[in-house]
Amino acid sequence: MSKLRFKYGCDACVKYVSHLDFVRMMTRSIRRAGLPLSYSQGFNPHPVMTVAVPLSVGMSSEGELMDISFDEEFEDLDALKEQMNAALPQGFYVIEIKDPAKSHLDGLKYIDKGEYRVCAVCKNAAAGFEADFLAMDRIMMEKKTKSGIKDTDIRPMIDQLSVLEQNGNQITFFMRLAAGAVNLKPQLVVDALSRYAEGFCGEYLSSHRIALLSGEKNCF
Amino acid sequence: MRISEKLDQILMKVQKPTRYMGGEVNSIVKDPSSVEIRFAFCFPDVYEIGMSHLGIKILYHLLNSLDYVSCERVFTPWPDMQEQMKLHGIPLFSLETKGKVSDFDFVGFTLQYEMCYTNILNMLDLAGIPLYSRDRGEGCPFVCAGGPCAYNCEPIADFLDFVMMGEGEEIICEVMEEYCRWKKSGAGRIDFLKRIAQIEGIYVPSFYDVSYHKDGTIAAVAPNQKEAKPVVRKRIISDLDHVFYPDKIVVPFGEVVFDRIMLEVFRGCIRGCRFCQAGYIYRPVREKSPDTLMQSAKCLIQNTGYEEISLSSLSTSDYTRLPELAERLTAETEKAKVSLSLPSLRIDNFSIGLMQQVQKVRKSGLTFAPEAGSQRLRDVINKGITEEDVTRSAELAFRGGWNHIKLYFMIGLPTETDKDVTAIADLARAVIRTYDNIPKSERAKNVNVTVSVSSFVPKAFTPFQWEKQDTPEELVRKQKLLQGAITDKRISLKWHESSVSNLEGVFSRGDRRLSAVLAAAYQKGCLFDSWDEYFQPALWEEAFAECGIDPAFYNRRKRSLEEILPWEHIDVGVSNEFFRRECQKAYEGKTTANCRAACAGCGANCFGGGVCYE
Ligand code: SF4
Repeated sequence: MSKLRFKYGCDACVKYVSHLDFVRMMTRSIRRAGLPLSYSQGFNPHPVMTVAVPLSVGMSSEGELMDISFDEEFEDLDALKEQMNAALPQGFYVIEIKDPAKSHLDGLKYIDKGEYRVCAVCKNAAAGFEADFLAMDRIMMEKKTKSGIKDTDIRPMIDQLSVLEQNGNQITFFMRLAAGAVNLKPQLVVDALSRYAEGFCGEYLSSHRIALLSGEKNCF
Repeated sequence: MRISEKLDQILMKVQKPTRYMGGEVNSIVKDPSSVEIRFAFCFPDVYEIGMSHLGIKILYHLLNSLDYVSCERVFTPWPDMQEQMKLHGIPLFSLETKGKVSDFDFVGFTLQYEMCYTNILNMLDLAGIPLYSRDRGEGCPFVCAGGPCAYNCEPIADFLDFVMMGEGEEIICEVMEEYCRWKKSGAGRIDFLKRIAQIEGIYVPSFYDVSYHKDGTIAAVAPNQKEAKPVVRKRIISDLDHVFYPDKIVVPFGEVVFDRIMLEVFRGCIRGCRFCQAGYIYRPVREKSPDTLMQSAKCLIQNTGYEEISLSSLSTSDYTRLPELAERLTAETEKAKVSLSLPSLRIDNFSIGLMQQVQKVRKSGLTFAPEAGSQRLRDVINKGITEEDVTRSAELAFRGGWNHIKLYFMIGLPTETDKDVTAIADLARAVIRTYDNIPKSERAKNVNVTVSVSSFVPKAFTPFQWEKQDTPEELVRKQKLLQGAITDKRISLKWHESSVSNLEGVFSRGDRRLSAVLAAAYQKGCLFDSWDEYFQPALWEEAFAECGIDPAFYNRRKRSLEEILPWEHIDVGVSNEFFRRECQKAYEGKTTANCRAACAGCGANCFGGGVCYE
């Protein structure tokens, strides 16, 4: 058995595919590619694969990670990548495949941050609004948690936030946010900006995940 | 703004956006400017239902295999999506190119059940296509239909330009070819209909006039164009080993109802259960060879990545080469790590062994369909099963480790008495007794028998096409009677809604005067009638009243055997003479042998193939 780490992306045209649907799609694509996917033992065997941090519905990405186990070893990982890309539906693509041993990180569970490009429509945006926002001690928002919606301070979950570009009434942010066990969605940050940042009033449009990190390191 | 751009603004606001996304593996996108014909294949229900249907998969890939045709899929948008579409001015669109349905050359509906009729009107409406065929001018798409309900499509006759009767693989290609010729000729819309009316199996409703007697029954159905055939005979494919079968099928992103490969083993059914329309309209039985089936199975497994394959036919046990097919398929599926599911198998030593082999996982429920509780009534409906057959099968199942058995029945059957109804409980008890009599060490723990009861709806093209249907009140009474007769806690009763079947009974044997009722009901907001949460019986009642039509005329009236039926000018190959004979035999409680035991002379040998010539 060999475990391989896949870096992959998905375009905006398939951003409505949910995490569960994605896993099923991936399984079937691997089977179509004729690759010897490993299955768990037991009554209801399921494929052995782990998605690092499930992507929310509505998000595109170029930096997703997952580990997939196969019953065989592979010599030529580039060829494997080509085989996978031929089998995937349009909009999904594998960027690179690695032996996890050669990765910066041995476990996907150590991922704690994600980087995003986030678009919003803004009615107005005064210069420097994001700096004032980041200077706040606490940023309280109602946040969905496992035990229901709770008032949560999201300030510690925001690592970086900057304006990349402003074009007419459309604004693009760069955000580096908590991802994984503690997870912050870009939309909530835009909502928080609208609520707290003086001189900003906008509406979330879409986001694109650029990378997943562990600490400061890109984990792939 | 293009439809695809507008969609981007609304898909996050609706449930299950992948319903509207397209782009699935094996879907086919052609550039509209590169083809002669654009065919919008419409399924008048939600995506998950439509994508579970085998016919759409076959015809979609067949049409797309013609290089001059582009076939795209369209499903009924769920109400939440319809709301958003209206809000943003989005007309009905196809999944492949997000093209306006009104821009297509053909808009074809598959008619799988009567309760989808308002969805057809809804889809035409969302597309901006006039509902009535008479209001469609030059340049409008041709609206057509096919599928099992097409045989009596009279209730929607006013909305359809033409109908394809029977199996579609050949006829649909003939229509496409004729369309190209017609388009080149530059002639008008009616000319196209006249051309195709001469193709066997094509029915153009507007080419027929229906006149009525004072009592509302039909006086005559007569063609009003010389091109229209007095009787339209359905089409069948004689040789299923050489007909198109897709080697790949679309694999949806979201889960659909039947999310697996379906392998069609044969068409038709040899049995002749008298209540079952499918048992007659698909006659005669024609089988595929194991070689053909293995070839399809291998390709489909490879091209879809599906983890499950299922045999799909009306009564799989009747396949003459089942042992051979089963052996080869189990070998193949084990190799490919695909699970094999075998619905509609009769339970005998062979099938139990087979199921034990393929269903290595949990032993879930097994199903039997005795359909009626008493032997008398089973003879009436020609269900060739005895109580002993049921208990013997149950014993095999219990000894094989199963402990949950589901029994399917119908109530409201012709000649049914209260004794027949309570006999259902007796039969369920007999199954429990069988379990109790097996030594503890040789059976699984905790037996459970589910009795699932649906209400009988008389259908066109069956020996019961003249019968009246029980009222919902009568059905509820019988249901309570049955509930009272079930005393064992290990037997549970499941019941299906009867007010929907009441309406289904109206439309299944309706005539074209019902088109007005459908239009009225749709205008009032009836939609997704086959979904309990959307079915609105009160609105339907209003619609009938407004149109001055009494639904009881259609479902509560016992017709005389001489009455001209609304579908009299449609020929499925089985003669009315045969249906009359079968109806008489039903009353006498006499059974009819299956096609393989002895030909009953139903008339379907007119097609020159299949079981009739084995
Ligand atoms: S003609 Fe005879 S064998 Fe053929 S379908 Fe009818 S009953 Fe069956």
